[in-house]
Order: sequence, then structure tokens, then C-alpha cells
Amino acid sequence: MIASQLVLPRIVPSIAPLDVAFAAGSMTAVVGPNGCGKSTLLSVLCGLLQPQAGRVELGGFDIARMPTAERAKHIAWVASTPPRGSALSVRATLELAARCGPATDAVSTETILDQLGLMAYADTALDRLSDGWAQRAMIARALAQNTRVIALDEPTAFLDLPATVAVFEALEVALNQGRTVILSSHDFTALERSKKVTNTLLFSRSHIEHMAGFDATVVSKGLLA
Amino acid sequence: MKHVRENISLGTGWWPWLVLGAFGLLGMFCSVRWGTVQMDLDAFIGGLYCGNGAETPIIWHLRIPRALMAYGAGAALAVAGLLMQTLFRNPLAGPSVLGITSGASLGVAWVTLVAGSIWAGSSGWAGVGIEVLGAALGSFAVLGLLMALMGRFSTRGGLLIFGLMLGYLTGALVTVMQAGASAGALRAFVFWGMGSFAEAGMWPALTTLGLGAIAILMTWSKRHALDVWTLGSAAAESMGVDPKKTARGLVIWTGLLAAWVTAWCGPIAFLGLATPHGVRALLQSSRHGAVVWACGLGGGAVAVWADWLAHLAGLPLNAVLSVVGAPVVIAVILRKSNAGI
Repeated sequence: MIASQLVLPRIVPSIAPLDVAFAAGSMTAVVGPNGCGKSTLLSVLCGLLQPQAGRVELGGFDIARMPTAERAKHIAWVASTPPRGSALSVRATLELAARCGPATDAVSTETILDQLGLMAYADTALDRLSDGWAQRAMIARALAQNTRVIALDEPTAFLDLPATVAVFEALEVALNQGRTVILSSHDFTALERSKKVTNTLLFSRSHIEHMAGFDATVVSKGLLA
Repeated sequence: MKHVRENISLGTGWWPWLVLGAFGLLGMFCSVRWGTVQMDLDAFIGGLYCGNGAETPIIWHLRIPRALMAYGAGAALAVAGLLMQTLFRNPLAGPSVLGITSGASLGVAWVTLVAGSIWAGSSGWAGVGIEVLGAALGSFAVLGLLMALMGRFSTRGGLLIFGLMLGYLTGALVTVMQAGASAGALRAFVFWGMGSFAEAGMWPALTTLGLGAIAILMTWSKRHALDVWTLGSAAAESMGVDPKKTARGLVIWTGLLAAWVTAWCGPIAFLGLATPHGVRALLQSSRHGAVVWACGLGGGAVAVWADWLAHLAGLPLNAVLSVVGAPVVIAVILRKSNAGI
């Protein structure tokens, strides 16, 4: 996935246009202060929001021009908060997600349930789960969609340590399958521990800084500067 | 932690379907067999097979169209209620939230209270045809307005407020019309507000059944998208469900069903709101693929029974529906909040 001359909507004051490529099998961490535009960037990358200028391309196609159903075969997105009021069971949610994704090379929903420790809750309705478990279910849902790109908005904000570890392990499996992972996070410990972060996008006041790997010390300095 | 069984097709198994189907058939039989005119079994069978007795027109022109209309309207409204609860992700939404019923009541108020008094003298028009026309004009005018404004509602909340405000507006206009109306015209308007399946006749009844069946099939064909929709608009969009198209489809279908039924039967209370809750509890599932069929069967059955009981007891239909419907909704809400997490 390639973003070229991307200007984010709704961000005041505006920051310099972003040019960045997200390679297959790479994990990009998006970090920055509250309200800087991390969620907006993820939404634009997933085609849920239109950029003010510039474009996001996937395999040579502008994602803004893709039909919604087609885009869902290539990009999966996890919101920063779990849904409220859905009576779907965890397993049903994953099965629906698998149906939205590409028809080929489907990963079994049971494997994903197992990866994220959701087996015990597979038949529980989402609105009966705690925030943490519901968020885990949403991450499992994105994996079940089996897309080339997975974007996660603060995926571990509601999660305890074992869940965070399980999520990063599952993402590592996705990386090894050649998928692209983009995630925003304030959880620097988890990002550093995973050792799989290939790039970091650090939001500053005027622009988005592009760094290789993830170094909590450098990022913290950048944030506090 | 309560575990909810969710098989994709049948929910908890076959017995809720048997209950819903049998309940509806029994209700249909009762309302054709027993009415205000008593007939013994031989006379009834003679009438059913189009004998020469007085029973034939009673059964074929009154009771059967009425039972079919009740079943069709009940099914249509229950499906419309389900669609609105899905669209707004709100358990208190029903077919009336879009303001269609308000529009219909304004149309009927105008023909019975104003136009009737002007052209037909002090007693007003109390004819059924004119009320259907007034309700159809009002409800389809609101549906047209909704479609025209659909693109301008940036949120679903805006749509909800539109329906609510339209209700206030038409309420005010109706009050003004009532203030200047004759007693006879007022009576006709009040009777329309009580709701009835009796006035329509065979063809409207069959059309309503057909419309309900098409709505069920349409909903069923979109069952996966509607299930995904419960996860939230943005999540649904990321899973390939276009939020604008989905909202538009849901509004058009609900509007069509509500406008059609309200035109023929008046404002039918509670059925569309309560039936989806009842069938979800019965099926122990909220998967649209199963719930929409159950809404059709359940809504039809409840409407037929309510109509029959109201008819026998000489009560207004809406009084019976509210007495049955309100406790159902309260029970469901209490059960949900008690179950908690």
C-alpha cells in the first residue's frame, strides 16, 4: 500500500503531506499525542474517510475508487473501541468477516479463535463480553477477514498483558503470511517488546516523521520535545 | 456469563417455528370460524365451500379478507420494525419512527375533518375509501419527503429527529383541524386512529401479504450485511457494507411497508415495535436470516389473534395491541438489563 501526497481531513493545524509506502510483511506503528490524527490517518488508509488531497493506492488501484465490498477484500480495520449492542456471537462475527474477505486462502475461524484465546467465548454474544474481550474479538474478526492489509486503531488499549501478547503473536503470524500491518498505539512497551515493528510514523506539530524500526526512547523524546 | 446459541438458520431448533406457524394458523381458523354472527359447523362448511346460504358472503367477503389483511399487515409491520431497530441499533425503534404514521394521520384528518365537512356537509365523509386515500396521500408524501432529504441527513440521529419533529408538527395541525370539526367528523377520525383490518377487502389483503413476503425475501437476501451492520457503521463499511446504501434501502422498505399498511388499516400500535423483541427471545438469536422469517410469522399471528379478540370483545384493535405489546417490551428490556454482563 502506498500513500502519496496525502493530506488528512479534519486535522488542525494541518501537517505536511505524507508520502509513505507500506510493504508486504511489514508492521508500521503510528504514534503521536492525543488528537494528532492517528485515527484519521488509519481511517483514510482504509478508505473510510476521504483524504483532503493525495491518494492511497493498493496494487496500483486508488482505494477511494474501489467499491466498498471490493475494498473489504483487501483492507481490514479495527476501531479503537469495541462495538456496543451487537448480539452476534464471536464465532458468527468471525464467520461473517471471512465471508467479506477474499475467497482464496481462507484461514479457519477456529484457528484464529484459538490464537487469541477466544475459544471459551466463541458462542457468547459480543454485548455480553467485557471491553477487553470484545476488542480481542474485533481483532480476531479483522484477521478472519483475511486481507492483505490490516489496520488497527489502538488495538491493545483495553487489553491486559496476556491479551496484548496474544494479539502481537497473532499479528506476527499475519506478517509471516506476507500481510501488511499498520497500528496506532500508546503502548510503547508492547511495541518495543514485539521486535516486529519495521517502521514508525511519529506525528509532530508540522509533519509526520518516518523512522525505521521502533525505539521507545527516541519516540518518547520526540513526543516530549 | 450467559451463552447464546446461534445456529445460522434455525436459532434454537424447530419448535419455535412450529409454535409461530401453528399460532398463526389457529388464529386464522378462529377468526374465520367464529365472529359476531354465530354459525354452526354445517353452515360454516357450507359457507366455506361457497354454498347458497348467508354464510358464504360473510366468510368470503368479510372474515377471510379480514384475517388475511391482519396476517399480512402484522407481518409487514413486524418486518418494518425489525428493519428500523437494525438501522438505528435501537430497541425502541418501530415502523412509526420515520414519521410515516404522522403523515397518514394528517392526511386522514384533512379528508375527514376539513374536506369532508366542506363538501359533504356537517356530518363529514365517513367512507372507508376516502380515509384510505387520505392516509395514502399523507404517508406517501412523508415517504417522498424522506427520500428527497435522505442525502442531507448526515447522521441517523438526524433522521430520528426528523420523524419526531414531523410527529409534533402533524399533531399540532391535527389539533387545529379538530377544533373546527363537527362531532360526526371527529368520531370518524377517532375511529380511524383505533386501527382496523376489517375495512380493506380481498385484493388489498392479498397485496399486503405479497408485499410482506417480498420484504421478508429482500431482508433475507441481505441477512449477512444486516448482521454486520450491528457492529457499527464504520466497522460494517470496513467489512464491505456500504452505509449510505444500506440506510437508504432500510428507509425505503420500512417507509413502503408502513405507508401501505397505515393507508389500509390506520395506525397500528406496538406490533412493529414489540414483535421483533418477542421473536428474538423465542429464537434466542438475533441473526437476521432467522429473525426476519419469525417476524413475518409472529407479526402475522399476533395481528390475527389481536384482531379476533378485539372484534369478539367489541374493543378497539389498538387498545388490545397496546395491552399485549407494552408488557412484552417491558419484559424484554427488564430481562436484558437483569442478565447484564
